Amino acid sequence: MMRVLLIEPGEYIDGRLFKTPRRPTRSVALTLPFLAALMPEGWEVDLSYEVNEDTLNKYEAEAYDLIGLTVQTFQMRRALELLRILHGTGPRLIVGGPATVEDDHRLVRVLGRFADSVIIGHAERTWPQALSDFCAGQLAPQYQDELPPPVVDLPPARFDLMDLDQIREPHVLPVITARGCPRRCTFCSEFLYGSWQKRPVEDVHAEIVHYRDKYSIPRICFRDDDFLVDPKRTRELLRKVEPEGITWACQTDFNVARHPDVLNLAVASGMRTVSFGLESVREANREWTEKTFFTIPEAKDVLLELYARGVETQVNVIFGFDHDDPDIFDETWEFLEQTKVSRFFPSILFPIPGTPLFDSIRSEGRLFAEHPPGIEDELQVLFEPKNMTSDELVHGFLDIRSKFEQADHGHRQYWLGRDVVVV
Amino acid sequence: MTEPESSLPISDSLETTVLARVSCVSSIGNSDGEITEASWLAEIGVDSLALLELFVDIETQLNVQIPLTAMDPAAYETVGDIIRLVHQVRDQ
Repeated sequence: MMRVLLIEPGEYIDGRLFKTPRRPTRSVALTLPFLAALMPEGWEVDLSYEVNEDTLNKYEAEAYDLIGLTVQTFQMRRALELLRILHGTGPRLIVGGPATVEDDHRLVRVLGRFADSVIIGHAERTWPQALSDFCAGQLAPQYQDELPPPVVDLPPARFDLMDLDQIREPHVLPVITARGCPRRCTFCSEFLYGSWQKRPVEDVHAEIVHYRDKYSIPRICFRDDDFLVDPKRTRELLRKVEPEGITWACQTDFNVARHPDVLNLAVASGMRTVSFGLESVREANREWTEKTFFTIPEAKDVLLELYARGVETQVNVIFGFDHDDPDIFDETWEFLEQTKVSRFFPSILFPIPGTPLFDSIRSEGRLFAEHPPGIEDELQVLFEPKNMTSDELVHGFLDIRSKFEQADHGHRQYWLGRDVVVV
Repeated sequence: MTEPESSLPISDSLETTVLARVSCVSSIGNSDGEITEASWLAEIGVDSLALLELFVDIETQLNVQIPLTAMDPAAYETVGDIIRLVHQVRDQ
């Protein structure tokens, strides 16, 4: 029997490795249990989330044949530390995750220097291939699947391998019904991840029922980038979900305003939390970013309708677009007040290499650095804003975030409580 | 008049290469020649990840191999620290 340890590295916050016995979410993580499900017979798997435990002391590296790390960019610093510590202890080291794709694959060279093998991008085919090659003594330094990710007959994730005590209850299990996104908003990292691939509705339905019955957890978070984006497919899926006694959360856009029957079906089939990518209350910004498939009045109507029906709503807004000036913060606040949203997730524009927006800002000579730093800092302004200063942008962002946190939340809707985010 | 050591022009090819690579990963660039051996990495926008990229770049450019044990960003504060490391590695 071969043994593998799969690790999600921790994260440095304010110079310290962040640790918590229970993650501040109810939504169970998907990547490691899904990688475990992709493994062939003959492998024994342990999963470790370093944010919850002292991975290096709890698991004896020498006892494993392989150690795999899945890394997001904000975890890079710790991931490289772990790789340096684990190097030479015995097991071969494989690394993958979003960090291998973002920033135009910039980090692959560094990861490859520290690991025996790097899996670039989606791993449905390459992870089993790497395991097979390892068993044959032929582990390659790099794997990259040039085909779109497979979406048919995917195995259910192995949540049974997780320590669910590390996540707040009641638990919510993640399901992905499609990879990628059909929208092409010019600021979005979806430009890095290829075309939109949809799973068969029957497969998704079977997976949801499997999770409900196996784990006695009738709560799902659809992890798609835009779950309600295709009205025809959404109707087909939600009609199957409706009788199963599931409650669920998702992320989508306000185009659903133009399909009221889909919104009705969503609520009837168990939608309890929805996160919307609004991005800006100014139409000019959404024209600039080609996110023109809804209007602000439509967004307001949807939010108030969901409020009336007891659904928790989250609105995500980016500040720093070219048509933003210091007044944008007051306008956004007015929108939040009017629409009674439950949660507000603001951020400062982060031009992502590989996106049209990044290219546009660069061509105007407004990037402060050709490459953004690999370790994200939410308060870093990486470009010259057009109609306000960087200081005005940062202070406006901090003020409106703080104002929302301190506002009266008594009348807002929450599915599983205000304290813990689901989506 | 002799300039302070920190701003002496660097002519040695190893040092020139390291400085050029530091300029590439620095968030401030080096068009004004502001980056010298005495520059503090934190002040010229070379974070720990950029530093690791720099090490990999230098390995390729100078055909040397830096031991992973030496690739600890916390051990380096100035551009000069990196130049000294590369000298050590090349001499071994």
